Amino acid sequence: MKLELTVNGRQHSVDVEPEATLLWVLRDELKLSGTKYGCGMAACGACMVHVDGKSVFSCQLQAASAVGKAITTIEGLSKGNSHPLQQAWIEEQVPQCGYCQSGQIMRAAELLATNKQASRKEIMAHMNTNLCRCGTYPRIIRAIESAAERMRDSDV
Amino acid sequence: MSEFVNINRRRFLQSSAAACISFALPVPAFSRQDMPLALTAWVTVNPDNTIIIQSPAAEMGQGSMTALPMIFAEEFDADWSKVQIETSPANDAVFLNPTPWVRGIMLTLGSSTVSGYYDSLRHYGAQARKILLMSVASNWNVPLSELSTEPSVVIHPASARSITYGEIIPNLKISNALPEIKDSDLKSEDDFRIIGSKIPRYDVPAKVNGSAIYSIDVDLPGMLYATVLHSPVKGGEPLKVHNEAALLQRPGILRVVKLKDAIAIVADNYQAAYLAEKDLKADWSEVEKLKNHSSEPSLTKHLAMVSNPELKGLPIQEKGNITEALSQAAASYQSEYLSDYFYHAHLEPLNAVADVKTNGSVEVWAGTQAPTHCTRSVAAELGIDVSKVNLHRSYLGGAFGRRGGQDHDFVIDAVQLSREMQKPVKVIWSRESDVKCGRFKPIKAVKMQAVEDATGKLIGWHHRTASDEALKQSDPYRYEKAGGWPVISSGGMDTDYEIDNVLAEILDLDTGVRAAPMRGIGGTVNKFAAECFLDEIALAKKQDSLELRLSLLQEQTLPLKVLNRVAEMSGWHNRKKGAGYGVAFQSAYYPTAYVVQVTLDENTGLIRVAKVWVALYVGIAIHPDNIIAQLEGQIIFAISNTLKERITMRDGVVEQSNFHDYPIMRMNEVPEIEIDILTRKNSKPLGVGDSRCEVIPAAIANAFADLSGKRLYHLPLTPERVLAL
Repeated sequence: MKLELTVNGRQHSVDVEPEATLLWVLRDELKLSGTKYGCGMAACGACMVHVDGKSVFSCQLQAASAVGKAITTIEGLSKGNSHPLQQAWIEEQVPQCGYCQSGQIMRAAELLATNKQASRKEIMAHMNTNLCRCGTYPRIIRAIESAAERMRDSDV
Repeated sequence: MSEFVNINRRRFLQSSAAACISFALPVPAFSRQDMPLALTAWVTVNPDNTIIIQSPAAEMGQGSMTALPMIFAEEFDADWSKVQIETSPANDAVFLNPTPWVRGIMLTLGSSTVSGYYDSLRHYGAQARKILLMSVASNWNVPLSELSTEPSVVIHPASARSITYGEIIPNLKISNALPEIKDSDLKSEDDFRIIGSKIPRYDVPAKVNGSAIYSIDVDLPGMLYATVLHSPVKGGEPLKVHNEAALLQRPGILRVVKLKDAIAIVADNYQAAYLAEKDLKADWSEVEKLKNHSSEPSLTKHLAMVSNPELKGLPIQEKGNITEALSQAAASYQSEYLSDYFYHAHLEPLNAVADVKTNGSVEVWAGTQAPTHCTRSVAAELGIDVSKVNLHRSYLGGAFGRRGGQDHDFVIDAVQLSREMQKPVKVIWSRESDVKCGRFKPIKAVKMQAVEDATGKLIGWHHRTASDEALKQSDPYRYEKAGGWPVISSGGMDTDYEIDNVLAEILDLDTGVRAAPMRGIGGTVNKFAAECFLDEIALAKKQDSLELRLSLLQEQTLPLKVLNRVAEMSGWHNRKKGAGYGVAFQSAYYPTAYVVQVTLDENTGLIRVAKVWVALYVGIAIHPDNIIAQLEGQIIFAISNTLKERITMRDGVVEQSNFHDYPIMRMNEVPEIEIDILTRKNSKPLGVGDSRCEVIPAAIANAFADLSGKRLYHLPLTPERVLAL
């Protein structure tokens, strides 16, 4: 079936099977490989993207159901690593292998878009959807806290 | 000395492959204003002052892609802001890991990278710097001894002249022989500008915007996609696919291909293959040895072996006379410990891309810890010379030992399919396939015995472990080079405690189950046994468990230092008894001591690690912030192993399949972590990437015993096992 998808502000036409999930459409049709496959069952979060600002497991979402919605992937989060989270991620030297980090950042971006006051407890609860086998969790927490602070400061 | 030589990098690499570090034949000089120049196999300097340093290590998260070039750049005296890093080609002759037990190949594992390459990279860095200095000395007609360098600049103080490295390049004079480097040519540690400083990791910016390329991201024109399911048991072969016709009816599915020990589904898009694999119905040949292999009965057999005194093992450590000591005991202790299988759970499922060309060459994209093992195994599969294999090394989305094997099963899958389909093929194992066909840390049984004399002094220590040896199948080359030594399963069996009679022996099994080295190797189980056992002895003797360790380490400076330091950090001596504190000490080779504090939910049996303190000695710290990152990472990895992870087998078949039944640690379970890194001037770096987590399971079990008064003897320490106490 032919689908019109809006990804990172651009229109794309794809011709895929009805069961095609957003994950594989993004990766294999649109060549946006920053979104990763890790488990295929919403257990790891490596595939997280935003659909209308909400984080979703793209391995679970049929691409057809994202038609008419704004899809944002890690590639579209900012230009030149300028999102406060990406900057904080670099400052805190978060990534190790890096494979889960697109999903982690997209998940964190959803939180800070609505709650820049998130407590450590709220951050940890929100981020619990995403696995990191390298164990970068302590740095992820620090990076989210520092990005939140930066975003609060820039609001003032 | 004054001949001009113009060489491009590829040529140089070819020549260096044959003769390690030697220069290509001189060719006539010509204007090379804008040409980059490979000074040696390790470094290229561009006229615009940028410097490209080759990094031989696999970058799988451990950060040595940055740490190794830091060592080189230090002695090269490079301006770090001008440094770019490339992952080196697969070439043992030039880029081998000099660690003796790596046996002359390129390999990134076992905490051996920074420690292994340290001396040689300092040497090569100094050598490249000297090439520049000699050229300037010749061009300016000044004695070499009057020249020195500041970052990326050669200076001649006597004439107040200076020239940047990039400016040297257009008129570079280079000799046929590489300059000799003596120890006196190396920097004093006091002059280090890069080593020991907080330098950002080179790979980080690309890992926060999705642009870092893993082999799973490689996209070639006309490429096909495949999923590969290996036999449920090692050695099994595909017999019959029952629903091949139905699968082929599905849109996108091109072929169902039987490989030697696997079934591949090839499609024009990955998801089609992935979904088809879930419905694949196939018969596999039975493997006699594994037909009845199940975890629990197998562990019982392991335990029977270590408990049978008639069975003598291979001595790993032998001191005094253990038989005599055991017979003279005034008091004796013994305990048995068990461990289940563990899965690496790299977040990037195994994958590779191969393009077998009609001209008899092949292009391969893969993330591997052992790039030359990879090219050799591809060459052997295709019956071609290894020079026809061009491996593109990508980032690895985690590895933890799984991508360091000799045979590279996941790469050979892609090679076989590309040959079969005559097109480029990307193979991605589904997570289910990755778990079901995993190569695990094998199960183990350990029996510990200790005796003391009439004065209460420990005089005998007997450690017996029964295990498969992973290296035997994962890297027969290194296993044979090691004379059949069980390198992986015997990890952590040596004791540094000063006891007169010691025997550590291994009973080597070959159950037929797939196995691979995994972070912490045998040490996580052997030290679980040894360090829990010591706590049991301390309890029986009514002695403080940390004090007992100190008394058994007497004059060993570094072990005492890390233990005393971790005691201080954790407030060990002021802790409340029964508050859930546990201590464990690793070894004199990797001086590391942990204290952990745990809590217990008595209703669910859930142990939680609340706080971890670790003091470790690292020699010189090359990249301190990354050492901390590696510690944080392996602490979390090891806690996850200890409390949550468990692979079980029934009739040879793995019972788990994905993260729902093989859970790994999530963010809400992360403890507070406090790390103190002890260093010493003018020392060599010691490894930290995976070598400092061996005693974490023991520290947790000891803390649990402190809290509950009960002891757990079987890894992992799951809620079911807690509730069964």
